[in-house]
Amino acid sequence: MKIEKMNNPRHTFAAKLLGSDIDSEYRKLSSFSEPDQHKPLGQKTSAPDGQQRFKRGQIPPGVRVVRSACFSCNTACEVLAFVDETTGKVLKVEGDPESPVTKGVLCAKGLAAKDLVENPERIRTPLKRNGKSGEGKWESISWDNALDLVSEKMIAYKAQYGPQSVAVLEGTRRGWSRSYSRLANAFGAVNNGAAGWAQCLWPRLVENNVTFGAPYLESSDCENTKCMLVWGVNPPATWPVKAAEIMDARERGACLIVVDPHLSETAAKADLWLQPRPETDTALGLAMIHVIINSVRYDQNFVENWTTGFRRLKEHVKECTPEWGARISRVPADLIVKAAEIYAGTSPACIARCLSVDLDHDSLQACRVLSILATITGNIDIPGGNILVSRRGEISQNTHEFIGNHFLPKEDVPLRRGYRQFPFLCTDLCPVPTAHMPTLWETIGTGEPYPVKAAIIFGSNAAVSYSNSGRVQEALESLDFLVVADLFLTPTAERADVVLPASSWLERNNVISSFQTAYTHTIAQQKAVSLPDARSDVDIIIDLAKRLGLADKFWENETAMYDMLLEPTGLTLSEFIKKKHLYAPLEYYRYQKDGFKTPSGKVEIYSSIFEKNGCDPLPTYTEPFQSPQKTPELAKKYPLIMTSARRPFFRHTENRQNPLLREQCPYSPVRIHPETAGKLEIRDGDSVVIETPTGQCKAVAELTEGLHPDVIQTMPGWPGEENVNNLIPWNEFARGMGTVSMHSIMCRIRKNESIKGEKLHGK
Amino acid sequence: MENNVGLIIDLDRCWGCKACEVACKQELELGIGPRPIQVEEIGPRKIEDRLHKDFVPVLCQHCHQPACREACPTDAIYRAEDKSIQINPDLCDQCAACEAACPYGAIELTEQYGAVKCTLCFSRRENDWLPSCVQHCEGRAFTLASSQKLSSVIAEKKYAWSTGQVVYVSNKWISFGKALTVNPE
Repeated sequence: MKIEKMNNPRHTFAAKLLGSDIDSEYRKLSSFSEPDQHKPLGQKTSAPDGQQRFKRGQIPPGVRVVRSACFSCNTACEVLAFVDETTGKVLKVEGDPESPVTKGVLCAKGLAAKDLVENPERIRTPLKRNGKSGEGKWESISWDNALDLVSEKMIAYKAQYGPQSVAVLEGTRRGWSRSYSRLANAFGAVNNGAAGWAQCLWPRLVENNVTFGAPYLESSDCENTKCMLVWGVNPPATWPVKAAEIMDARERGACLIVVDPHLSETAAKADLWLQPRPETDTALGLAMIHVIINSVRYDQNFVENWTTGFRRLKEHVKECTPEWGARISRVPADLIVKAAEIYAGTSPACIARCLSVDLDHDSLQACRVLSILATITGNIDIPGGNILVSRRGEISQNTHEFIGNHFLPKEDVPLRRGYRQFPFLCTDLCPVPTAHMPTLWETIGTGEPYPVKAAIIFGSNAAVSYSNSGRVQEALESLDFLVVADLFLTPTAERADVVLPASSWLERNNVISSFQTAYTHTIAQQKAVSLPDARSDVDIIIDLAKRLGLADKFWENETAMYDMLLEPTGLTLSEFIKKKHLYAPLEYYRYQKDGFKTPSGKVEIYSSIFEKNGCDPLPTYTEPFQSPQKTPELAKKYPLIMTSARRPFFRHTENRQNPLLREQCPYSPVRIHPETAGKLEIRDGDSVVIETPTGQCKAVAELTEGLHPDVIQTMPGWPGEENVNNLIPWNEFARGMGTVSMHSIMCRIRKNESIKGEKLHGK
Repeated sequence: MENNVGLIIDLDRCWGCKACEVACKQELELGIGPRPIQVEEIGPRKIEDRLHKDFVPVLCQHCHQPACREACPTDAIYRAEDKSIQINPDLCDQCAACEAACPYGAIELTEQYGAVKCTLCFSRRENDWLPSCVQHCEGRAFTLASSQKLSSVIAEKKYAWSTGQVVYVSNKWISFGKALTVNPE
């Protein structure tokens, strides 16, 4: 039992309130109800404080409120920054009650964001390293000196070793838009990319292009839906706006089905929770498709008129019975049938999915199964379904044109690492063609097949955020020249030769749009505060481009770039900042006007593009690269399946420096089933060591019955000894895309005898 | 500003995301340490073949009969006009009697900030902003209401529990019983 909780009056009260002290009289449960017994869909519940809820109050004297958009993740929630008029300091960051998307909601990360400008560890000036990597000897230099040094080195390496010898790497692109990809392409750096591109979002984008001829299917229209199939995503931890939408939809009577190996916050609220073995999503999805087709619950009209390959699909899933799906996924067959019947039998229904399908060992196919589910049930582009979003107000940056794909000499492109093996990531089949990062890191480390001498990294803590971190760190050490632009001296920046102080989102003007909301919208980010020497990424990129002799391929300054991006709206940046945001509601049934932009003009259940490029045209289940079934020998020594999930306080490697967020989660946790922990003599709060043949890391045990006994759940993003990425190998990659499988890693766990457990039990 | 204000917490809508905890600490300008609101996780526990996990935001209940006020030797704790319970820092001599007396663990005595607890965001409400937890909650579990309106919300729910100005409601379960008084002393 959790010692800390036992002695805590708050917990005692909460437990009593909910009757966890075994008082059966009060155990009245709302039993699972079929969707037709749910309340009819009506108006949104009006709260007694409804009128006040969606309005801003008065601004206290001496305070200026700057409207902006949070960049703590990719959702871009509208926020208000309260600034002290006298000191110019940010007093607090809050949600904007008048935002039609967020309606005032904001998550812990956004609420604690003022630390970005307050934290004493912020890098204040450009730094040049004196002494060895990691010694911590730095010299402040001017921006001119820093950027001259960087551009001279880039030009020199290019001249001596070719343009492929300079790697141009980035993080989550929140702030520099695609101007950074443009810089890489204009310079000729075929080896550009990011930790996330084969791991997050790009499998979905590529798959949507292949299936629907549209880049986004991420707009699940919860506001108008009757059934939500939330697949491998936990919105209260990672996607607050979606969490609010789901909760409102539930209140209206919409049914919630959740697929998650862990009893997540979302799963805890589900009408039906499916708990699959990690990375068996494709099998589970195929079994659901089997049920839907066999019971003729599919949308015959849509399938007939707007899809290709349905008959082949029917044949293809013949053997994918619920029992077959149950054997693989461990979800009982009757629950698979129930989930399929509810999802297909309730119209409209939508799927909310996120990066867990991207992290699959066969990422493109895992994404495709869900797209096919939405397609055969006729939930595409209908109110309450999944809406294909392609236009978001401003000029799209994820295009070959914007990123200057044409700047690259054609004969250089095949030099890109991964080019032949992963066409959907590294060739023009990808909206932003990039290198395959594990292959590139191996090249950096070994010099094979050619030397990569320098790396320019913007907004990415590469030493921590990539899988197989040990290898990445070795590769970083082997570079001749490393430049890092970031807010803090991260483990990556510590290894750099030159560090450039980037500005945080509170310090810059920017134009952004998000695919993670149910609106087609574009928002202005407005400068709330200035730090003397920090510069925005776009500003640095344009300056660097000029010094590299690439001025003709760039804009005069960042304002000019945003003016150009905003052209379709008819506004300039300064006009737009006054306007703050542009919204348009989702557009339904667009395909009826324009068709689907696939080779056949229809939704390609059977993909002609996959067929042409060496991928299965219909999704087939394959076992994860590592699993008790696939690698029984490995499983003898490493019997547990490691998966991972985020908490609401951090994004990737970010925010570990923030005291309010760190207080919520002081160390890297690992969730373990009590039965498994008991056998290993591990108690709640014990320090443990997790091991794979690739590496090891430390974590603190959290015992929970919300997992299968042979599954443990870690949390990525911690540096040093707590870095789970140390454990993840690069033996195999997802077909076509090059994804590193991250949710089915065989491991073992033991008590960390060097630390006394008691020390960690206290507060 | 309403007098006789109440806070309804719909447990069925609490995601356990803890945005309220951080929102509160930012509003009261608190660093590491005190948590005037804390979301407690109950479970996972198996009941009738189903695994349940629930969340309860615990904060000052603004009790009808506040044990903290009884315990305070310097009369620093008082009921404000809006019926919320507040602490007058000028009268507080930091003896920690209130901390020990509160059955909910909702008052913390700290060296840096003195006695800290939920104020129902008194100063925000003066400027027509909702309490920070109410505004930012990702599940919209919190509702601020005058106590006249409280009863209409409670009537729609199966279970409710209260000992003061804060009312917990749920359709799933609350075991403390359904007896409820909404009018303070």
